[in-house]
Amino acid sequence: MNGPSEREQSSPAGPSVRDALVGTIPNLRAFAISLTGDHSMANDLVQETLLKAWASRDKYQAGTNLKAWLFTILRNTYFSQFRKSRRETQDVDGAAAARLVSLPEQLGHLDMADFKRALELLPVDQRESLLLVGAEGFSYEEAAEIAGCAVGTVKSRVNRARVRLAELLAITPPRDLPARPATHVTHAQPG
Amino acid sequence: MSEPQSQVTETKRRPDHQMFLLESDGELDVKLDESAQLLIGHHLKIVYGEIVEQPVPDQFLNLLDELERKEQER
Repeated sequence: MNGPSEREQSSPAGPSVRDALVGTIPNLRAFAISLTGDHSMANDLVQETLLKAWASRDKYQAGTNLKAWLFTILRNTYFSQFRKSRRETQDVDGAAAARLVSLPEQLGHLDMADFKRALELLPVDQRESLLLVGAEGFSYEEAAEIAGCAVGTVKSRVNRARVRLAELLAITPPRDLPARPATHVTHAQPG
Repeated sequence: MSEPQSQVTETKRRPDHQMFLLESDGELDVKLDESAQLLIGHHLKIVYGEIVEQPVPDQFLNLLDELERKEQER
């Protein structure tokens, strides 16, 4: 099995499965917290993911990417079970590009709290793709498999996520793309 | 305007770190230039890494211990 705390065991089941799963918990948790923006939901989500992974551990093929397999379970569980239970405000791409900060930032200096808030304002699909590729380091192909979409879709979402973050953090001014009516933006005046 | 490539035409770089892409299907898209991408990526990894470094909550270890225990009782 793959995993950071991999230990060779004589039997394929039992302790080595546990150890492999334990090794991925920090990343599963970080992804769940960053994706949901909700510590409580994230804990429930990781819990449910571990339960499902354990229950279907015979379906996992040794030698394949364990982390990717677990991340797929987690995000599928989130989108099919957990998201329905909460109403989420969607910051639709191209809607009013209100900034989190009103003063332009020097390139290289970002407030971490602002960054976290900006991340949570992204449309969830964009946030998911950005986290998989930019934070977890999955390839575009791996991220596409995890998210169940085309590679081009992941790339587009990652691009847009970055652009949106840059706007929210005042690295760039809001977009003004006359060719695309959906991106008509109004922006807050610098305070 | 740069020469059209097989998939994407990029316009000249703008001072605000954004680059416009004309996709092969005629869609106009936008992405950040490399310096802004690096800045975003750097901070994303820091924010994310802080959570990854946190100790694993007991509830998950307890869960796996319990699952393993039940398995061994069978």
